[in-house]
Amino acid sequence: MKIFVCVKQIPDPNTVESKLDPATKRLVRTGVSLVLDPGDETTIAAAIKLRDSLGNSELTAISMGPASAQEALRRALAMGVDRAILISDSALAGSDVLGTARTLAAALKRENPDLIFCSTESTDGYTGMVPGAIAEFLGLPQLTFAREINVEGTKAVIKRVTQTGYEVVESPLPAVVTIASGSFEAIYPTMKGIMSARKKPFSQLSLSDLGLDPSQVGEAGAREQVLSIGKAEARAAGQIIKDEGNAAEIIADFLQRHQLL
Amino acid sequence: MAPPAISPTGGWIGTTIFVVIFLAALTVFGLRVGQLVTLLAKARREDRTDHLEERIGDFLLVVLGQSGVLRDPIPGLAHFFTFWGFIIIQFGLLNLILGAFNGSLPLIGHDHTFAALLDLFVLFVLVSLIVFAVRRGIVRPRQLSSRLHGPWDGFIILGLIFLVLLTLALVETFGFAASHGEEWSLLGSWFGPSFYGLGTATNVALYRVFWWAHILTVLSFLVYLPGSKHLHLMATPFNVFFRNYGPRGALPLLENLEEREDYGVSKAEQFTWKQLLDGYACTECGRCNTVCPATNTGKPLLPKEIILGVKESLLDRRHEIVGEPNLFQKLPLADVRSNGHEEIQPLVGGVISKEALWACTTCGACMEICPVSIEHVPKIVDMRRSLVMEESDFPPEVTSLFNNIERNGNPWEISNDRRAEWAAGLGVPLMAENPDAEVLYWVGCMGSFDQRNRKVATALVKILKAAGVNFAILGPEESCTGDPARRIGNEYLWQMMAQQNIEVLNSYGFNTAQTETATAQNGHGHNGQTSRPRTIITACPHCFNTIKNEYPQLGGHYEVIHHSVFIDRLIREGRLQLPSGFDHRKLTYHDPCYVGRYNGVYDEPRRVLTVLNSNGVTEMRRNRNRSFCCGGGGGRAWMEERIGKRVNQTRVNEALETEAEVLAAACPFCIMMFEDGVKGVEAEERLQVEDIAEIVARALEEAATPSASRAGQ
Ligand code: SF4
Ligand code: SF4
Repeated sequence: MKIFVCVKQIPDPNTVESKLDPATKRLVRTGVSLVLDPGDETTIAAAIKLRDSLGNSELTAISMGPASAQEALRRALAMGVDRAILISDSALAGSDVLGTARTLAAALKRENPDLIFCSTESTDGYTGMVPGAIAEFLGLPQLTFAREINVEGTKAVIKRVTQTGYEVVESPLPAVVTIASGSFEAIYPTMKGIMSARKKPFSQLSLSDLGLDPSQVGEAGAREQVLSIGKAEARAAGQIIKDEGNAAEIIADFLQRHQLL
Repeated sequence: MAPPAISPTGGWIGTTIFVVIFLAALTVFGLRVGQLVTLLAKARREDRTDHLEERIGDFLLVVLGQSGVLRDPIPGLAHFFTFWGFIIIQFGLLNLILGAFNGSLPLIGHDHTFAALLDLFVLFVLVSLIVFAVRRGIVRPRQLSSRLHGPWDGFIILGLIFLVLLTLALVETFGFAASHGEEWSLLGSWFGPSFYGLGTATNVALYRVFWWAHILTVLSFLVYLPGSKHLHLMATPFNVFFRNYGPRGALPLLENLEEREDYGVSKAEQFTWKQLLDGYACTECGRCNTVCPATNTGKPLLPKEIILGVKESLLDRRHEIVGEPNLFQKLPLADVRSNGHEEIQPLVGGVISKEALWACTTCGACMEICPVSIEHVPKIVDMRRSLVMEESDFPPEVTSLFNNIERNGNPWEISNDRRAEWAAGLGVPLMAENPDAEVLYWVGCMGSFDQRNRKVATALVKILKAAGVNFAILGPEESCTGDPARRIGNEYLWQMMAQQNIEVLNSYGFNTAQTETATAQNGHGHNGQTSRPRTIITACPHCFNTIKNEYPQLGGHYEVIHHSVFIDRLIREGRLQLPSGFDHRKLTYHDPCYVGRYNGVYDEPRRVLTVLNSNGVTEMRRNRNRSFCCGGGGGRAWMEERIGKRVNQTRVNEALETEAEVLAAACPFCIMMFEDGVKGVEAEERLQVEDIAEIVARALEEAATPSASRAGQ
């Protein structure tokens, strides 16, 4: 089977306090440390697990981004992905959901994938719309919030996370699957992985390779517009309860007030 | 070469039989030893011929003087006499063998003094044997139990030695009786005359019977030896001779990361020959188990079992390693092991459990106490390396540690840009602002980010300022040294961090190798000034150890001093004026493993504390090189402690036993572990954990305002 996983390089969410550029109203990506989206690391783990259980399958990581995004793809290769594709083109700068999905879909289409993995959402933009848009562009069914995935014959079967538990959902292949965050353990690369990552196939595509017109993507093709940006309200300081013999009571009261008891 | 009074073999037929048996036994022995040596030859190479003169000197002291085992006096003395008894008895044996050829040893063969000495040693050994047997059979220290050779090996050996002695005594007795005193010996002269009544012919016959019995026992011993734990009799001298003379705190470098096939050890033959020789040399005394903090707190790690596990795994796979089919396989007598294990277990995760490997704090107590210089920690780390770099198999909490060190240059999810924040407002210059600083204060991750240890950093700054030291810190240019990564087994990450730090340190001209070349070239060092040694100081023993002892492996040579030593120096040079005895609280000092055992710093911190405290230092039960780990080394600070008692609480309880009010330490990890341990045993009211720098800083305040709050009053 040909399995794909869409990944993204983002400013390190753990150390970088996301800064927004007031002029472009976009996330500042220069001068910060960039990493493979930690959410994607777990999605990759899910894809690797499936590939290994299926046997005779190839897993390709695909990303759209500037040249620096190579690093993120190398990490994916080191984790055990077989092949990487980077779509990089100056005309892609400023792409919105639509432009991103259109580009990724165009690249995927050339590959005739059987299964496409995406994270539910990226850890920087959090729109959560790209996987759906890719499915739409490719005319494929989409399975969402998977915490477990199996292939049975020509069907993909997932356990879909719900508020109370999970649903078993299936669809014919090919399909797009989004992985619920925290369902899989990220893989720390082995030395063999790191070393072989340097030798694994790595292709770079431009817009013209995909037969896309610059007007369809990037700033030029964007249909989305950020109207304004503002700071999220800081979380109010917590309340510290010191036990003077009545802590249990205070806590019970608190929980009751919030209808948690 | 005077002939013996009575020919022991009774003529050439006997002598011929003797020669045949003797040569056969020797051949079997030789083949068995050959098999063991072949296994070593198949292992990785390693050079252990540096420091030759010291090697020879120490060899005489440890092997001939038995200085290692003598540290444990009663079994030590017993061992001392057994060892020397053995040597002397060998001469006696030679004498008896020469008898078969109608000869004797020149000079001592018929010498009564020698004969008396020989028998005195026989008696010594006999007494020692009783001591050993009592220990093994009645006292039964737990550390003596053997998984590898089973409970009987020890007794078989003791029995064989006893038989050797008994038959020797009988040979002498009947030799004396048969020759009517011409064949003089001490024991013979005691017991021989009582057998005169049997008549000469009977005595001669009995003499011959016991001569044969003696020779055969000795030869069986020889054949049995290579497969038994008493292999150490042969291997120990070599092991002591080839022990590590490099810095004790340095783990071996894993070379050529880019091109190697394996990363660490998952099969016994991937160890170096010296690491495998350790297994042959292990006497199974179990001393290492008695001092191990993991063993002592109920973890599944016993350092002795690590050493024996490696040996077991090596011997299990002996045919595979030598290559099949091989000589030793075809000649069962030549094989050190007869019963091959049915199912061969893997070394890691089989013979040695992963839990055992992860439980090690790399405290080095086992290596310190081992009488035969066995190196446990490099083996444990080698096997961890395989788990981490080949299998990506480690406690889950370590993943974020690795990722953070790699991405952020510190163990947490904090941007390294904030590394100098702790020093805001303290007037601490960055190296970039003060490139000619005489001293670089390497703050380390704990000093930079950990709330508790920032106080130590602040205290140290106060001290440096008071002493007028021209110093600076690196701030965001400093990154994690990589020490926890290396000790957990991530050599790749350590090398990455080390290279990065070495580049920074070199750019400020701290590399002594570089300064020397620069000085040699133009007579000037850094910035065109005459070169003076530029020092790095740090309050973190782990940073200290890895920069000092391990960075040289990658070309970074620096003058690094632990802050306790630097403070002691400042005091002795008169640069710090401190009110002596200002602190009246009862104080005990914990030796951090990487300051004490690994780098031999015991006196300096004690000197400083003794000056400041009116009661001096009250020692804990285990102190100096016997110090008991806080539980935080070897990356353990970053792992959960899921099994057994807590190491940190065990040590805190020891501090409490001294009734001290202050537990002084000199390591950020110790401080962290002890703060936690004190809370764990609910002793916050009774015991304060303080870094030596904090105590000194308080002394400075005291000196400034003498009437101010007197600590402890
Ligand atoms: S280094 Fe310390 S913890 Fe590790 S095995 Fe030796 S004594 Fe035990
Ligand atoms: S490793 Fe050393 S201390 Fe431990 S049992 Fe063997 S000889 Fe004794």
